[in-house]
Amino acid sequence: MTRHASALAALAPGVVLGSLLSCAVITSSAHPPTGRRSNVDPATGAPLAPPVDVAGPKFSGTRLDNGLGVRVFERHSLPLVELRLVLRSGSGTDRDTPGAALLTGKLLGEGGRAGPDGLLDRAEALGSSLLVSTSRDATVLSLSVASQQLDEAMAVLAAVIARAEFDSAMFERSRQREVERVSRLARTDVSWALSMVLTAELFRAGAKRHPYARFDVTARELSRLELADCEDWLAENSSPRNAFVVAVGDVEVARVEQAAERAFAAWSGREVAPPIFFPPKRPDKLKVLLLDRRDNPLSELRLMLLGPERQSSSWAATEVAAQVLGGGPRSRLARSLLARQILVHESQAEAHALAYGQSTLALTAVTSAEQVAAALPAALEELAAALSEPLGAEELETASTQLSSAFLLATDASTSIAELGVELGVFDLSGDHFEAYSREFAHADAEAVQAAARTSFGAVPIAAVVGDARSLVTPLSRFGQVQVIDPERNFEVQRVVSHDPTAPPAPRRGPAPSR
Amino acid sequence: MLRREVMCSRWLAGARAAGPVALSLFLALTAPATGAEAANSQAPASGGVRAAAATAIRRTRLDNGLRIVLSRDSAAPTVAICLAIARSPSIDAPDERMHVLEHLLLRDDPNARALHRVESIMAKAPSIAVTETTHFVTLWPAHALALGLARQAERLKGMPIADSDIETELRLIASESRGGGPLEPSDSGTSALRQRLLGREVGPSADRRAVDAGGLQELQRLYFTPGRAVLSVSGDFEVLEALRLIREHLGAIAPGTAVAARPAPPPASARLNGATALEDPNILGPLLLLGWELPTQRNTERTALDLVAQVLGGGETSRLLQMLVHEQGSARSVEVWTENRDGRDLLAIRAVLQDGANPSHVRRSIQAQLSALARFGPTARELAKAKGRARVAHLLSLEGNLRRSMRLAEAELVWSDAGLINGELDAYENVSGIQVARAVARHLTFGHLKEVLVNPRATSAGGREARDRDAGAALERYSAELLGSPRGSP
Repeated sequence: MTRHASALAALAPGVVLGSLLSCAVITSSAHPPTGRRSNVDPATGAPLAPPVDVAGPKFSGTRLDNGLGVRVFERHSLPLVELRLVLRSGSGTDRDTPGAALLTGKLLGEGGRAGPDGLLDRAEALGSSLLVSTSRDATVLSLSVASQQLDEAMAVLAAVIARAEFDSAMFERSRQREVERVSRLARTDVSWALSMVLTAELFRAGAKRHPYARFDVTARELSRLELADCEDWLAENSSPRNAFVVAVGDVEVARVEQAAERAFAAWSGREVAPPIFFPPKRPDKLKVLLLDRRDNPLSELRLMLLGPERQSSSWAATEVAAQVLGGGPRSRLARSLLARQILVHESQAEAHALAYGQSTLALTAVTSAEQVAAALPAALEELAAALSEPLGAEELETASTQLSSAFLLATDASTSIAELGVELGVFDLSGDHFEAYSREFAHADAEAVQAAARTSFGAVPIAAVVGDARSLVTPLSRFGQVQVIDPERNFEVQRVVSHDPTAPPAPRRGPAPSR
Repeated sequence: MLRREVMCSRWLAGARAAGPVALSLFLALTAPATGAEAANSQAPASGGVRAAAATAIRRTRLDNGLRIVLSRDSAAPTVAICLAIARSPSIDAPDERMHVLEHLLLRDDPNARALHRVESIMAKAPSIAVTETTHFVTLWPAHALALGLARQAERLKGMPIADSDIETELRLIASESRGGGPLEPSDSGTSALRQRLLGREVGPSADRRAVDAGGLQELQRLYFTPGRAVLSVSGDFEVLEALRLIREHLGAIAPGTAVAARPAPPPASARLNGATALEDPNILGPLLLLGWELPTQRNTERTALDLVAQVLGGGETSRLLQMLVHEQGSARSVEVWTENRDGRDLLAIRAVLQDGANPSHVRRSIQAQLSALARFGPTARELAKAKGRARVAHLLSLEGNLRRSMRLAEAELVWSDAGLINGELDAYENVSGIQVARAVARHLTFGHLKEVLVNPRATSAGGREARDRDAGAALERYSAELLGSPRGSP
């Protein structure tokens, strides 16, 4: 799930505020934690930013007789309700048909073959659009409707999941759109391409392909997919015992449960067994994946490692540690690069939880193409320093404030709270999980964060860089084996260069910031 | 109102300590529309929605002319603060200078780094949204209301501007015309369509020669003043305390000088005719954009045209998506929207065509649908669906403090009364099919149509150079702001 990533993105500069969402219902007022700072530094009079100590939203939950889970959060500001129907299966359950979950989701989003007079028309008559998203762990059907339309909206969701039928015309249309999407991303989105290659490498497991090894599908994989693959995927994964409903908004818990009971009572199915999610093998030496892009003025460097499981008691501490290391302009990574006269456009830390097994941790820096080779050793040094350098009180408080504020602000609108409800179900967390979770940021303990940093960031990472292979391959080979990959040719490895610690470094280029 | 917004975000500057204040206020209370007032026998199904959706709003004005809109909602411990400033070109300075100034007001202020640092840590990334007004909006934890107000006050107090800052911002603005940033795909053609319809466009036409530091500071002094602004605060606060803080931080700012209105630009149709053809290396297939200028009055006809946009392009089952995407297979996607921009309104259709599709055929198909709509009106099902979508869109625009603060600020600035927002649902519900047909027949005619066609092409060397310059500007700006944070501390 990427909720946390979006929370961090809210703090990142240069991010267009395209989705102006807002506020959540939290169960207590926001106040600085007791014993922390006031709003003003007594020495300088400058304003300070203390961590925000609030309890996150608490969901009520039940389970219907057919096994369908129901999670509800009441928020009565406006007569709106955000509805989600979640299958606890995503692209991680594609098995030998990559893209099956994704395309099935797209077909469900069209409401099945009934066309303009069918399910989609019913959904759109509610004033909403039926949206379907597919992650590695879930397929989520979403509707935003006036709360008085709850029953009809629930009925539409039930009909889509239980009665949808697909035809070849729909399939071809959806497949074409997806081929165009991934072709465009391969050509234009270096961040997406980095996630593709890093995920594949991190979950590489010899001859056996790990279910999480695909971040997204490729055009070639889509071309091999058939309509029957989608129908099979749906038959295998669509069951109330593998699903739950989330409702957030101006509705009462009992009303939601009754509506769900009426709409989904006829839906039945067995338990769905997930694929075997075995632990991937940890890398024992650094490997650098070099995405060959010759005309990008900006470049991106990313390090990826495996982190703790989402249910782990060290999860929040690991997020704080990641934030200290790479989250935003005040992170160690950003400051380290700037100290080396390397310009930074963006720096981010992301903890990406997965339902079955360890999470992934990523530190990213966007810099100029000319300086990216010099940025790699700086990033590696910061990881090494995470093991040895003690955590400073101020950097801990900064990360603590960033994360606690980001949680509060990112759970600000009903849509965001609904995403939290999805997260609870996907990761099997209790309804009151977020009450304590948000406070863990505000009261982050230095020892726990330091321990989490040592545990998670002490391993050997996978590194990936975007840039011109002609000039980068040699300096990068100083740090490990370099694989040159072309994202526009289905991520094929074009060239492999062995690790050579004696290779010449990158020439120092690029101006220092003007002030 | 169904529309697109142009947005850009930048990290912001800090704030100087607020000056002393003590100006009296008068408090005007706009009572929320009651269920009885909102009830309408023509649309019983949505009466409950209208009653429940009524937003409690308090309006007031400081002695320096700054209009205040408060909307208290304690459901969330957050507070959104939106500073909106009128920027209609019919009364304002040229857009390119105003746009540069907006950018500069979002960047780091070297005089006030401490507050800038707090904002970068605690608040949701500040941004500006440009429609017919300029919004500076941030979202804070509720207990940080005073910090947020202090930061917004800085924008009305003015800040030093250097020529070197302008150069960087102009390059960033140029990159916006090719997309949201140096690495993002472009929103090709839309700017050109707006330019054709409305006669001017923000950003891409920025002329370096027309922008200098002295001119921008003069612009700042004349236009970014309390008398031309609205401060909208939504969230979890005590009203009296919020008013006290607003007076403290913004009440002492000088009111500024009244600016004489400039004559409105002539209608675009008098200057431009025929189709515009463009090329863009960042698109997969050809783009066809059609647009019509709309009446700006807030009346039934204008509301009907909002519903027309929904009938034509609201969802997969709308007329144009069904016809062009699902039946003919001539388009990959179709969008239809209305927008109010710079005091002039438009309705736009944007179709991403399939390879080999004939743009003329697609345009004729669209015109045939418009002719049918003008002659027969929408079906009852279509009209109900359009109203339902407008209703949900209206509610979503008020959902959460950030959105609500922006919506209310704009309503206050454009309509002179944010309380009118509570009449929006009634306005949609009261539109009939005949009124929709009449509005189409009157405004969406071939004679008033403006057309832009954008074809894909390979990136030119010049395009690559421009992109490199934009990326360099973004890097320098961001890194300079990072270096501005206290050394040795995060």
